[in-house]
Amino acid sequence: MDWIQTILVIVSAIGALMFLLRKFIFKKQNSKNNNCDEDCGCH
Amino acid sequence: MSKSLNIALLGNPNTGKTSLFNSLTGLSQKVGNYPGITVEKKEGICMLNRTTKGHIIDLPGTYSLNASSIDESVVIETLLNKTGKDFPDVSVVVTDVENLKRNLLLFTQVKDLGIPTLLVINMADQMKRKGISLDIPVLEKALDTKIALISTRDNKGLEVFKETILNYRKFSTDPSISIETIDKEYFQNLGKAFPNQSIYKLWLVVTQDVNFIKIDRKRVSDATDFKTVTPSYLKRLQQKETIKRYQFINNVLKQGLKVDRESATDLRSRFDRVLIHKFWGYIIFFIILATIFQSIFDWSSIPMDFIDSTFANLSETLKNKLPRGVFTSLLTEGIIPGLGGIVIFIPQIAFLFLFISILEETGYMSRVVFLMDRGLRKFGLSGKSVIPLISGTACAIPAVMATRNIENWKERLITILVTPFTTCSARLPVYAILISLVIPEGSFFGLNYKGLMLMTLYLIGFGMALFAAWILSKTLSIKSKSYFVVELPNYKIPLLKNVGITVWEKTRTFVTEAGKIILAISILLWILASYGPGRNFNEADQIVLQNYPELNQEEMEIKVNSYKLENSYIGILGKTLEPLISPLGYDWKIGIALISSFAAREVFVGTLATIYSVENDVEDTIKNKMASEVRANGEPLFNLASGISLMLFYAFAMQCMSTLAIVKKETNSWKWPTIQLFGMTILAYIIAFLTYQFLA
Repeated sequence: MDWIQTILVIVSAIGALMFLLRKFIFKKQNSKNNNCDEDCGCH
Repeated sequence: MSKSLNIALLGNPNTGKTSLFNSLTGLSQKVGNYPGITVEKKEGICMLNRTTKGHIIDLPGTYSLNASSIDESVVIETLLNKTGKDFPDVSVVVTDVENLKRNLLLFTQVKDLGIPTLLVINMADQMKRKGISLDIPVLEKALDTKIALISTRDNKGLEVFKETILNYRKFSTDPSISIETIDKEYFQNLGKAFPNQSIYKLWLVVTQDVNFIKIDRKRVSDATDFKTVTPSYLKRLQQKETIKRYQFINNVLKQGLKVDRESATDLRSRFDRVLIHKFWGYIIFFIILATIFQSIFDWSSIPMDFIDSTFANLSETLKNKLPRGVFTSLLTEGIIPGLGGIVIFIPQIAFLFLFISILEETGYMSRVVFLMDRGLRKFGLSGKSVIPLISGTACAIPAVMATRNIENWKERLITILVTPFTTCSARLPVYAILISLVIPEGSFFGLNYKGLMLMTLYLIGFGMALFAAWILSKTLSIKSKSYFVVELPNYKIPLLKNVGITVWEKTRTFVTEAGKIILAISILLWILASYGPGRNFNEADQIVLQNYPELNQEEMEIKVNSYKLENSYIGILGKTLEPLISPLGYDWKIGIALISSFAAREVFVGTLATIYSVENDVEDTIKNKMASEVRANGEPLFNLASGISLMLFYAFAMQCMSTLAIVKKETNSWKWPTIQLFGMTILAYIIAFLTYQFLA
C-alpha cells in the first residue's frame, strides 16, 4: 500500500506546483485588444 | 393652426423627471418601446399656450452622455439624430435641488450639443427644510441658460416653466466648456477629418461608437491627417472632460448656491450635523469602529474555535482510520490543517463584510469617506482608503479587496501597497508570545509595559502605512487625476438581501481564490518539512538514539521529529539562511519559522513549537522553552534586543503569501506584489537590523 500513498503524494505535489506555476508564472496573457490600461477600472 | 414643439425631458434618475412629465401631460400619454430594443418610450402632449403644443418625450434617466447601457444610449441617439422625428427643438434637463452638482454634469453636456436647453430645478419645496438657497439670476448668468424653479410635489412653477420654454429660440446655445482645450491636437485633427460637424457631437460619436451622423468621408480631403487613438486614450480624454466639467460646475455653484446645514430641519440634516461634525463625527466613527472590531473578535471566536476543533478532530480521525503512510500524513498534517487555515478565517471575514455592508447600506460609509478624505489626501490616499486601512487590522486580504471602490487607480494602488502595514490579527499570536517573553513587568502612568508595547506596535503599523503612502504618492509616476465627488445618500434601513449577497460574494471569493493558493502552498511546505537529503534525515532515529540514549520513548519521538525537521529541506534552508538573519539576532530555528510563516504569520508560533519539540497548544511550555533557548555564548536567544527586532520585522515584512496572491489578483500584475514583497522585506530587515544592533 505504501507505493499508492507515495504516488498520491507525488501527484499532490505536482498538482500543487503546476497550479502555482500556472497561476502565477505561466498565466495566459490578456488580449492586447481588451481596451484596458491602468485607468480602466477593470483590475 | 397650432404649432408643435419637440421637447426632450432628460435628467439623472430620481430627479422627478417622470413626475414633471406626468404633471405636464396628464392623461395624454403614450407608452411604447424604442425601435428594436425593449427600452420603454414615454411620450405625451402638453398645451404650452393656446396655439403651441409640446410633444414631450420622457427619455430614460442617465447620469451623463457617456453611455454605458442601452437605455442611456437611447438618450444620445435621440439627441444626435437630427433627422429623427423625436429630435428635440428644446431639451429640458431636470435636476434635483439637493444634488445639483452631480445633476449639472448632464446639463452641461446636453447644452454643448448646441440644442436650446432649459434647466429645471425640481424639489424647490425642500429648499428651506434643507437649508438651501439659490441665486437664480446668478446661476442663469453663470450657466448661460434659463432656469425654471419648480416643485412637482406641489405642482408649483409649471406655468412659468411653460412660458419660459416658449421662448426657447432665445436660449443660448454656446457651449459650457471648450472641448478642444482637453487635447488641442486630437480635436483639431478630428475637426479637420470631419469638417462642418460639431466637434462635441463628433466626440460623442467617437467615444460611444454611435454613428448616427452620416459623414461622407470622400468629401474630406485631409482625412488621412486624423490619427485615431487607442480606446484607453479616449477613456482618459473622457475623464479629463468630466474633470473639466466639474471644475466649471464647482465655480458656478460657488456663486449661486448656498447650503446652510445649521438651519436645515430635516432628519437627514440633523443626523449629518452630528455624523460629519468636525469633532463629534470622528468620535462617533471611532466608537463605531471599536464596537465593530470588538464584535468581530468576540463573535468570531466561537465559530472559529468550532472550525478549529472540527478540523483538528477530522485530522485525528483520519489519522486513526486511514492506513499509515505518507499520503495519510500529508492529508492529516498538510492538507487538512491547510484547509482549516483558510476556513477558520471565514467568520472574521463574514462579520467584517457584514458590518461594512450594513454601514454602506445605511448611507453612513459615505459620511466616513467624506470625514476622512481631507486627512488622508495629504498622504496621497483617498477618503475611501480608510475602509481598507481599517479592515487591515482584521486581515489584509479582505482589506485589499475592499480597495475596489477607489476609482482613482493611483490612490487605489497606493492603498493596496500600504494596507499590509496595518497590524492584522495574524500578527497577534507572534506579538503576544514575544511581548510576554521580552517585555518586563511594570507600568507607566498606570498602563503596563506589555499593553503599551502592543498598542505601540499597532500605531507603528498604521504610521508606517501613512508614511509609505506619502513616499509612494511622491514617487509613483502614474498620472491619474483625482476629483472627489461623493454623494451623501439618504439614510435608510439596510436591505437584508443586499447585505446577504455582499457577505456571500466576498466570503466565497476569499475561500475559492486565496484558498486554492494556500492549499497548494501547504502541500509544498509539508513536503519540504517532511523530507530531507542524506543520512542525517534518513537515519535520524539511530543518530538521536546514539546521542541521547537516556531519553524515554516520548522524549525520543519529540527529539527525532526535531532532528528530522532540522535536517529536512526546509531545515537546511533555515541553516542556509542563518548567516543572513544572525545580524538581526535570530538563529536558524527562527529562520525556519520565518519561512513557514510566509504561508501565514500565525504559523510562526506553531513552527517554533514543533522545532522546540513541545505540544503547540501548551503555551507555557513553548514560552518556557523559548525563554530557555540560549546562544553559543550562553546568552538567552530571546532578549529585549532580539525580541523587539523580531516584532518589528513582523510589523513591516510582507510575511503573507495569501496577501501577495490577492494583491496580484487585484492589480492584475506580478510587478506590484513583487515590489511589495521586496520593498517591505528590505525595510523590515533594515529596521530589525538597526534595532538589534542598537539594543544588543
